[in-house]
Amino acid sequence: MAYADFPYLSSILLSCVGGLLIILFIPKDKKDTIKWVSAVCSGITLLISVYLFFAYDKSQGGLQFVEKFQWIPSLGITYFNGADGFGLPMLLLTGIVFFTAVLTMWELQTRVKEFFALLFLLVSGVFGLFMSMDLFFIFVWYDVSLFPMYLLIAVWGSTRKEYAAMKLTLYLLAGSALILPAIIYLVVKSGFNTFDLVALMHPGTFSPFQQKFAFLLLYIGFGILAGVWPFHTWSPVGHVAAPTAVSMIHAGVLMKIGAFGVLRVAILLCPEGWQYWAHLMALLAVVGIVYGVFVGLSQTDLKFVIGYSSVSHMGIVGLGLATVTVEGLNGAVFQMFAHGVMTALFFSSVGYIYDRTHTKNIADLGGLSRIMPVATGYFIVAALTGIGVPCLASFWAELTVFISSFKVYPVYGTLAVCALVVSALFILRVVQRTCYGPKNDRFAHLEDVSFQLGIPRMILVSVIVIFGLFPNVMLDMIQTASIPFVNGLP
Amino acid sequence: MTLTLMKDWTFVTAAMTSLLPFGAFVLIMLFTRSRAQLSAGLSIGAVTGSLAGAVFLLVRYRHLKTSIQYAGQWLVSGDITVPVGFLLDPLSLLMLTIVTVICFLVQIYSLGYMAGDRGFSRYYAFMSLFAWAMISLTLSSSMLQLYVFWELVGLSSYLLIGFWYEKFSASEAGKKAFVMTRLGDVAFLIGLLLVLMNLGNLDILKLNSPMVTTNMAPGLITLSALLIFGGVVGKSAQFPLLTWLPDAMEGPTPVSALLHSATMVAAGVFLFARLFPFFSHSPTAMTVCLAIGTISMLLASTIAMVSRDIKQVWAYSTIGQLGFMIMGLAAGSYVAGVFHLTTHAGFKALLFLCSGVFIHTYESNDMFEIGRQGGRRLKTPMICMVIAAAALSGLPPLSGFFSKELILAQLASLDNPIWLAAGLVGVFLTAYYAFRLIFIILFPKIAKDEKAQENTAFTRDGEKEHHHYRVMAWPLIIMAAITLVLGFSKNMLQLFLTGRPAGMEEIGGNHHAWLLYAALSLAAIGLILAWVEFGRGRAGQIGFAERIPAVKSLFLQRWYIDRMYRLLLEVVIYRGVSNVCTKNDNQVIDGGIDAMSEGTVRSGRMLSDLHLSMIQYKLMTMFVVILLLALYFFF
Amino acid sequence: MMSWIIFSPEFYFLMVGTVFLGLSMTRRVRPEQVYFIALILASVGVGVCLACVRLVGDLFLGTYRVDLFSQVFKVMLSMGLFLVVCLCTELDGIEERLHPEFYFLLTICTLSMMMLVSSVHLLTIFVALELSSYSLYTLVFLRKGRDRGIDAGIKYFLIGASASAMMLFGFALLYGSIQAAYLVEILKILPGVINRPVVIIALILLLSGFFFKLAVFPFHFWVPDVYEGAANQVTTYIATASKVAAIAILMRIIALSGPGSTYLVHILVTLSIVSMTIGNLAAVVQKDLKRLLAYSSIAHAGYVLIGILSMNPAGYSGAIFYALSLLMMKFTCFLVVIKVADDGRNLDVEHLAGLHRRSPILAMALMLSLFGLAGIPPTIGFTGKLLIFTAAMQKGYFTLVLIAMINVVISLYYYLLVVKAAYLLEPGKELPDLKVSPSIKVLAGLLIFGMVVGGIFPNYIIELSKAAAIVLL
Repeated sequence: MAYADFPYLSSILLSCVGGLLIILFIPKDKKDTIKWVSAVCSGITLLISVYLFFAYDKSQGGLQFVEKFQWIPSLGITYFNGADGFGLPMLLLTGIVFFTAVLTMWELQTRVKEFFALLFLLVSGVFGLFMSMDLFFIFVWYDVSLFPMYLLIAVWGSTRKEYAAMKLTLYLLAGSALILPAIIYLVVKSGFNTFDLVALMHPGTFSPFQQKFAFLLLYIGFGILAGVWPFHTWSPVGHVAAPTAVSMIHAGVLMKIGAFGVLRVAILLCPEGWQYWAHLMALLAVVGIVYGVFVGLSQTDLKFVIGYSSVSHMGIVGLGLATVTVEGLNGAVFQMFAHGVMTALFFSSVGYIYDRTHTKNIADLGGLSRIMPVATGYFIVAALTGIGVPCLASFWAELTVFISSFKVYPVYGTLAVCALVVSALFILRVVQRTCYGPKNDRFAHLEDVSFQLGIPRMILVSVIVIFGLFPNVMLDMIQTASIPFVNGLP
Repeated sequence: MTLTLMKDWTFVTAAMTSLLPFGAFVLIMLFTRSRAQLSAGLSIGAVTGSLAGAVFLLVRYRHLKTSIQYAGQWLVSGDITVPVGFLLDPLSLLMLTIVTVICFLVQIYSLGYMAGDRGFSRYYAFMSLFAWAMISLTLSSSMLQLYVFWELVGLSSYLLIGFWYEKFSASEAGKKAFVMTRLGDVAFLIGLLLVLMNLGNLDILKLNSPMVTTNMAPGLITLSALLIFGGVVGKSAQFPLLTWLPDAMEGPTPVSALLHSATMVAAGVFLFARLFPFFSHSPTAMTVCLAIGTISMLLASTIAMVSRDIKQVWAYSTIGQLGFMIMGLAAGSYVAGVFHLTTHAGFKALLFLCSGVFIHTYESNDMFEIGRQGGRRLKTPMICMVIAAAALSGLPPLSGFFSKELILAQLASLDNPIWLAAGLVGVFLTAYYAFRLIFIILFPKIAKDEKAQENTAFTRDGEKEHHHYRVMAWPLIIMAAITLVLGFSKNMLQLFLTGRPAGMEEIGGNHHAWLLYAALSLAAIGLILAWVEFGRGRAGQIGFAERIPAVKSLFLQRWYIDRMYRLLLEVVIYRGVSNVCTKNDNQVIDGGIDAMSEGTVRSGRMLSDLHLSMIQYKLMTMFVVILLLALYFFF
Repeated sequence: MMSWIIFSPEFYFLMVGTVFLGLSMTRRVRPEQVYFIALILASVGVGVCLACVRLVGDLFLGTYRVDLFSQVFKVMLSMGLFLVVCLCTELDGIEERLHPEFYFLLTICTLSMMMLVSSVHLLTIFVALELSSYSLYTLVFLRKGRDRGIDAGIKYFLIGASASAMMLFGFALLYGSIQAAYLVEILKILPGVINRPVVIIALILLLSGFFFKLAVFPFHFWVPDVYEGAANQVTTYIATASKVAAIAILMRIIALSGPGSTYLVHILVTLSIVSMTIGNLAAVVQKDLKRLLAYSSIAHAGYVLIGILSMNPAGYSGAIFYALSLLMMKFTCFLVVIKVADDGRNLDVEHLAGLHRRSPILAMALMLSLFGLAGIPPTIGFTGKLLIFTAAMQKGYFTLVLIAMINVVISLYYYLLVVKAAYLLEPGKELPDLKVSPSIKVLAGLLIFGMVVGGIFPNYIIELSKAAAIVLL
């Protein structure tokens, strides 16, 4: 555990919270100022997270950039931030998606101030969760990242927004209703009177029964947010209703919080529970993978299609976690990252199309490639990433997950691989219906993505391609955490 | 490590050969999308470089005995490693040369064919992408790497088939091609995973080494071999996955020439040849492959007999010839299969390019239409096409003749005569449909009034058109020359591939001396029949197959395979599983949740109504509850 | 005579009471002046209580105990009074000529509650409780537009009277069975005899009086009607100060049973679960904001009981913390209610429409307080819930905590409906911006600050409540 010479992690949080406060004190009508402030602050977070990603000492491994001091001594709560091979990819992801999301919303005109304020609140929660090593703060950040969603969707959303917002918020907080008791249960049972994750991770702290019990609660609680089947139905609805940037962050980062929570809290604290429930996890994951693509096949709304594809992709993450192996963990975390960037790209391009054509109905679209080749180009790249084309980030993640799962659960592995065909079918179908076909006169007057609006999408594409060509950059990072952990299993 | 590699010329050349087109792709995509000529220049320059590299390697290692391998690591995750590297052995060198040569010629040809198209840059970008993927595929040192590029080749095929995305049929065909090959690839991947689990890694040399049998049970080998063969079936459009290839003809003709006849579809056969030793561990698998090859060949040939679309005919003949190669390989003759792959690449590409000229000039795919408009006036393509067709139908002294002889000889050496019979029937059918097409174009039956229009044909587009025509003509001539001479390189090739001078097969060939004549005569019969039905002056231009309605419709409907797939997709996938899942999602899961929240609200309403009741009831409740609590103590 | 210093808060408020009594005699002062006087006196009162917070001692032959526990609650009570008075700028819910009486009763009620929290003899407890109750009954009656106030008042009175009758009966039984009226002695004897039927029945009966104050099932029936019927300011006072006092005295009594008998625990668990469930479910469908808050406070009574029934230091300190957080959050809600319904009418939820434009700071305060009531971090409400749940978990009541969390989710639904009204709904006709005086803005800002800071840096408050809770045992 290497303490930080400079509070990098806290400064990420600071730039979020600071941005929030600054925005709160800017008058409503200065929209451009607000946008610039948010762009700058999010840019800072991106820079820091990139720096951390490459400054992390892989040879040493373990927790680094640690900041730790007493917060509420009587309850054993410490302000304890640290970054390891699991956290850093997520931090990087959040930085990227956040920055690009802010840039994507550059055209926003209604209630700009509140929007960006809430966005910053949400993202500070996300960052906090990815870097915190204290159960109390993990839960706090978890909720902080959830409840802005309600307003963000309900105010700026589109179809059935209030229903979707309410459903999403209640659903996810129902998850936290399982998480909090489980956390308190673990803390009390440990007898250490501490929320410090590292202290609690000490093997032998919990009896096998306690681990199995707590793991189930935590798995379901966080799994809801990870879109684990059958708790996934909030996510497509939410994706559809949310405004572009929010869908980006929501699908790109928020769903990862769930998976990350399962990994960071449930799996790390209750390894025996993990091994005990692994088979159930694998089953649910595979059902999710197959089910997701089949439901996606018969969707008529562009965003619904993406929503269900991400249900299926998150299933791959779950499958990776369910194989109690190094490769599985690597694949899962890599898939979290890849899928995050991919969906962000998906939603940003769909958002552009929607803002112009004002329809998400696939039947009404079509023939867009002739009109806005660049915009659809981004969409197609995202689609190709989605169907696992090589040399794009998510291919490697999926490949590693498939290989590892095939070793552990041959049947599930086979099923998951077979789902590839259907996913190719339904995603390509959507691409064909929206982008291809004769020039669509209804939208002939629309203009293509301008350069500045293209920037965020370019960033996302380049990230996808870079990690697709050099997957080891990511995998080496993840392994620093996964290998010691799995080898340390009882 | 890297430094020493940098000094190693072989490595540098190989790397350059594979990476140049990729560079071209990136550059075009990023910078020169708006500058058509520049893009074309980049792409062609890159492919020329690759060609030079390929030739250099071929010449340098013409006497290669042991294969050279370079392996680095692309991805390491726990126990999984995906190596990246080059495997240089006769097969890969040969394939590399074929690919680069044809890529080069086709890209030159495309200068004329695609001239003035709106997506000119895009076209060349995708072409480079394909070149990169294909070259790397041929050079892959391990199956996982091969699989990666295998997928990439499929991607570029998707992009190129759907190149004219404004045509619905084109994008549809692209989608179909991708999904159907994906179907095969999934089997391929699972097979690979099986092997990986038992062998620990997927190095090609390891797979081919005899020690495989010690690590894997025979049944397992058969299973994995068959699964891997699934990949071949998908890529090479063999039965039952053959219906995507004809549709793939929606793409530009050069694309069909490059991807869907000469190189990409041949990748399946290449894979088969690559793992030839591995496959030969399992006789069962070999027999299955043989059967599938035979079936596809016969089916495809029969369909080709009745099609009016010129490209369709060549597409089906491609399927047939690929089936023929697989038969050769599966029958146990490595050389025969690879040799036919080589020759076929030449003459089939030639055929497509020729028909491309016709299509480009007359803007029609219908052979009768082309004939009516006076296709024979285009001298160069006409002659080249005749040569290629002759090669296709295995007439001496053209390249096709030698390779087919080799395969037939191998088939004859099998103890079950049915394969040989099928092969001979194939020879007959091939000759028949090939020359049917030739004659239809060569001797059109023209009504008097159309004479005038015929004279004006091909002079309308004037100078520019003529320039394009010349650009397109040169590759044809070169390829025709290759087709003429390639046949005689048989023994050389054999020496190169096996390291042994051509001995055994020759004797085998003589052993079946009658076979030579049988094959030749069958081909001749096919030719003559075609002449009788389509060529001679009073011919009705109706094939014997077309005289029987049932058979005709069967052939025209492609043996109803496509129909069946559509039905399956419609009924099972869309209306079946997908529908059920969606209903479950909306009604069961969501319905349950909504019902739960509804129930909560309703119970809330009930409770709050209770609180509106009269005061005395409330007081009573108080006392009763207290009473109950007190009573509870006594139990 | 020194020891009388410790009685100074009570003295002070007695004096204030007499001042208002005098004012009510004369008719010469205008309401603004009365308000002004009240504001000053109340603020001074807070100061006095703070000054006396560290005092310790006994009075009246030991029937009156002044210790950290009682003083902390006295500070809360005086703060409650002060805050309520702050809201009386436009006191339209009550006729002008009755304003002095209003302040008088308010003061007396506060005084009696202060005595309640530090009385340690059954008799003093009873006297103090009755005093506070009666002043509250009268306050409810003061509502302008008679019928409403009277209706609520009658219900309040009937239920209260029967509850206190039960309590009195309980006192009698207890005294009869163990011949002790001093809590100190009871504390010695009770744990030994806790399982004797008569003692248990006595306990149930006498607890019912405090359940009535805290609005625990089945003594909660008055809450919706009274909240709806009373003037907004009075409702505020009932929702904040009187709840605090009730929590305090309930803790004192429960603490008597020492480790407690499983039977008592069962009863408390049942009551807490039932009341939080009833409260939350019934609140879901409410249209009137005050009625909604009434049901939510029934639910919160349930939550508080969790802390109390854990009967361990963590539980008691958690309950104290929770009382404070409840005071702040509930008060913030009512601040918004009173400011939006500036003519003293009752407020429906959809009347909040467009609040985010009419007064951003009030909207924000409302949102934060509601999220706090729902127990969402980083608000003081979450910390309170965490403390309570941890305490319950230490006793191994896992199921109880789970049920409570499920209730939290249900409650979130109607809180979100209110937030939606404030942030999403647009009013039918264009409403002008609310005229919110700077002082109120400052107050709202302070409350927001307090709720957030109390959630993020609760350390000091936790320590304080721990110290206060130690006194009980």
